[in-house]
Amino acid sequence: MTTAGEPTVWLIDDNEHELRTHRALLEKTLPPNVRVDAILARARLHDYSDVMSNRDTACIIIDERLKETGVANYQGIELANYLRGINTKIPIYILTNYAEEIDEFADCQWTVEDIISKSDMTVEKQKKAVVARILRRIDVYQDIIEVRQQRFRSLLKKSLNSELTVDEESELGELQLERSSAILADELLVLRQVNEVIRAHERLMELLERRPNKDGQDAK
Amino acid sequence: MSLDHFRPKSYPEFSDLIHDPHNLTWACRRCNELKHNHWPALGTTETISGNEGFVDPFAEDRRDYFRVLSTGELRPLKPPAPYLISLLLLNRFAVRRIRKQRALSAERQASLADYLEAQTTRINRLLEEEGRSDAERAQLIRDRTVLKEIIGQAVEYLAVALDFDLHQQ
Repeated sequence: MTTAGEPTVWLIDDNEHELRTHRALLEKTLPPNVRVDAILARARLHDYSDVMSNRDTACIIIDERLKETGVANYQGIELANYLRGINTKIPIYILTNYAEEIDEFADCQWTVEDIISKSDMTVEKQKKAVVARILRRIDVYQDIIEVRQQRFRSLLKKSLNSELTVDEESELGELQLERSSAILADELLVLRQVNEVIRAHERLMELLERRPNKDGQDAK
Repeated sequence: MSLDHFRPKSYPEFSDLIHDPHNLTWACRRCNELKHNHWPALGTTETISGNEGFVDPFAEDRRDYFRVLSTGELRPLKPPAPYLISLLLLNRFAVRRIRKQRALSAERQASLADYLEAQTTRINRLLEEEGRSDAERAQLIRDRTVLKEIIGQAVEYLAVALDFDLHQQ
């Protein structure tokens, strides 16, 4: 029997004070086996690869206004859309101070699970209802992950010992993609850096291979 | 890099190994995430069960299980290498590319070191020749110093520039 790591709820905001406040509110209401991690909004959308590839990530709650301090150049919903592209099942919520703007998010109903009004987080009864909804979604998500993991293990085992059918092959490919999409997205950046280094290596070797001629000029 | 609990800490069987240095090993962050709590040999004292499992870094040489091709691809030599390549996606594009470049970089470093050695020997021979003026000798010594410095810096750059946190070999 395995005990999975603690499910982690990530809270993302660019306002340190609000981040601390909402973290404390969530920690008080969520059961003790659920961990709450707060992160200040990062500069770029792809700076969250550690969150997305973390196996314990169970839910992400993002403040709608992330541009206030000028560190991030995207809003909460843009981040939610980006993260949804990497993981189609993970529960993502938008947190807003501006309850009257909730209608603005109508088009995002397929991206996020729900829009949480910050005012709801200050009223005990409403806060409990919000947290109960979050916990139910976390349970569903963890069930999906567990089923996928079991299926992946089973197909991987079969692929090592016998032939997979075409359908199984394709299913294994999809499961591989699901478990690696965050890593592959993150590695696109590493690849860019690697390519820069490769170009620098080529330039260096080219310079070193130059031989000055007798007039002191490069031979090439 | 990250610290990997070789025998996953999430299994009660291995809970007493959480702080055991003989169960802690360096792993690239992504490999560590993909390894997660996979442990096919659960219920045995082995690390490998049939075709599946993990090569014990404290007891075995991974080079007995994998060969690096010049393309950067890892070729499995025996089980559980195919399992590990699939589970940890060891032949994904970025990893193959960086592996290939590291091999090329190592070749270049060796070739530059050979060049430096050959040129130093040549200069030393010229310095030993009789009839050279002091000015010529001083120039040769300067050339030798500059060459050593330039090649040394180039070799150092080639060695460290590819030091990404991506599947160190």
